Parts: sequence; structure tokens; C-alpha cells
Amino acid sequence: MRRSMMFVPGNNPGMLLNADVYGADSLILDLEDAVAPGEKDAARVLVRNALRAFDYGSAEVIIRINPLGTPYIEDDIRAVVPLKPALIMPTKVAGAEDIHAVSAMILAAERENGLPEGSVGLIPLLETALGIENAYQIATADPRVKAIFLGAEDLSSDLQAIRSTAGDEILYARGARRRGGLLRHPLHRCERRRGLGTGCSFCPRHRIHRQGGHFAPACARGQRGVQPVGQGHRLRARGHGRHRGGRAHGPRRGIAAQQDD
Amino acid sequence: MQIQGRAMAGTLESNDVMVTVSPADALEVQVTSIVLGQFGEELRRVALDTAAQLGVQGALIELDDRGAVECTVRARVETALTRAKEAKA
Repeated sequence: MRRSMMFVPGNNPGMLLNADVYGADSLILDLEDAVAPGEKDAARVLVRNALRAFDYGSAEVIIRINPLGTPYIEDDIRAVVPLKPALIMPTKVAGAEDIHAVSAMILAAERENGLPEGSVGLIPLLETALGIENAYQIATADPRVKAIFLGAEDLSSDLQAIRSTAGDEILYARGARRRGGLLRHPLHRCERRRGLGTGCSFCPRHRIHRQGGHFAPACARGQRGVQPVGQGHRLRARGHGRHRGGRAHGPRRGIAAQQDD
Repeated sequence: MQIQGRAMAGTLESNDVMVTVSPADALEVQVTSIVLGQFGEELRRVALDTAAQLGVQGALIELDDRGAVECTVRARVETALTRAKEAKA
């Protein structure tokens, strides 16, 4: 279940040490934008040691790697595959051929490390207009792809759009993502509630990002969002929620109705 | 592993350690730490052990520690030594 997904900078020992304390469902250890170009080598070693030393409990561990076409991706994959993360998040994915290329590199690393072929899953990050157009092809390119992830900030800049709280600029992308068969990708819905912002009709992750500056399931380094998301689920657990057609809905006034969209 | 030149890794943020490595005939570790009294010896031991695992026989390893846990110390020492291996003398 991916109600909340927290990004953790891969070269920050303190944040890696405390990554699990906010109770996020997924931890996305970041080797990409959160790490300066000159520190990629240090981050790979630090993330490796952190995963060997720390027990993140029930949190799903995802590692975000640098995009194809950068000098980092091969070393990233070689370093990350032996760590057996739940998923690898390749970035700036623009089409099925990117998935094929990444998948081939992962296959080589799996063989090198004696891991079962195909055991490493992917959650590609779509953050360009081209990636959104090709969402369906990306989602179905390879059995490794378990979910796809919308990178709304970079997409907005690629579209030369201004990021808004209402999020109209990414409406189309959300639709494309759905068509992509993203059956496992969670969508949080909220109405009015402290912490998650107001009036967000679709998906608070963008909202939280705007408001908190820190957190979004799609962009988090912090605390602000995880707690209210968890609260919604606690309310539901206490019988405030309702279930309809096998889908979980949030409390009446509430937040965080988690959908498998 | 042969240390060719001077290299650094890590930061001076809390929970991190700044490691500086330079060429030397034998392995030597110098530690400054906010927790020197409690963990000075442990830091020295971990740095020496990491260097030995990488097959480094000669290096001066300076640790400026801000409360790093063991896996962080190991990571920073490894990165500094790897960088020093590739560094120019």
C-alpha cells in the first residue's frame, strides 16, 4: 500500500538514519536530484551501507536512480540491484525503449549477482510531455514495471506551465497515467482538512508539496504530510470510513481515501 | 589499493563525518569528534577496519566527526579512499 511515499536524500546520513520515524509507507532513497553531481559516488556507498545497517521495518524501499544518458546510471544500477530494493525508480522515462534499456542493464546486474532474472521491479518516473504521451507503452513495456509515477513538478516545467494548487496543468497527465494501467499506484483524495490543504479534489500529494515545501508522497523529505494521511486511515480503521465495491473510501469529512486508481 | 593523492568525503553536518585521506607509508588515523570521549576509539577502529578491507596499507585518514553512526563512517572512509586512489599526487 502506497498511501504516502517519502523521498530521502541519498547523501544525507541523518535523514537516512531517521527515515522510518514518520511512518511513510514507502521510502524513496534518492540518488538523483537530491544528490549533487560530484557526490553521486558517495551517495551510492552511503545508501548501500544504510540499507545493510538499518531496519526500515515494514516500509517499502524504493531507490531513485539517475536518468539514461547521464554518466551515472550504469554505476547506479550496479550499486543498487544487489541491495534488492522493492522497486527501482528510473527517471525522465520517455518511452518504452527507455524501459527496455534500463531493464537490460538490470538483467545484467541480476546475473552478475546471482539474483533471479526479472526479480527487480520498476516504478518509472514520468516527468516530460513525451513520457506522458507514452504512458501506456511505458506501463506495458516490461513485466518489471509495477507502477508508474507522475513527476508533476518537472512535467509542469517541461510544459512551460505554472504549477497551481488546483493542478489543472497536470489533469491530462493524470488521465494518461490512468490509461497506462497503473493499477497499483495510489491516489489520495482529500477534501478539507488541516495539513493536507483545502479543496484538493484529486490528489493531495501536489498540494502538500506546495504547502509544506517538504512533503508530498511524490516529493517528501518530511513530516508534514505523512501524519494527516495516516490519520485518515486511523479514522477509517475506527469505523469512520465506508467501503464500496471493494474500494476504500475515507471518512465522510475526511482525507486520504486511498484509491487504487 | 594504492593512495595516490589527497581526497575528501562527507560533510560537517550533524550525523556525518568529514574524512580526509592523504598518502602515507603506514595506516594512521587521526580523530576529532564531538563524542571523542565515548567513541574516539571506536571511530579509529572502524576507519582502520574499512581501510584494511579495501586493501589499503598506507594512508593518513583524518576524521572530523559530527556524530556519525558506524555505517556512515564506513561509507565516508570508503568514498574518500576510493577518491584518493584516483586522485593525482
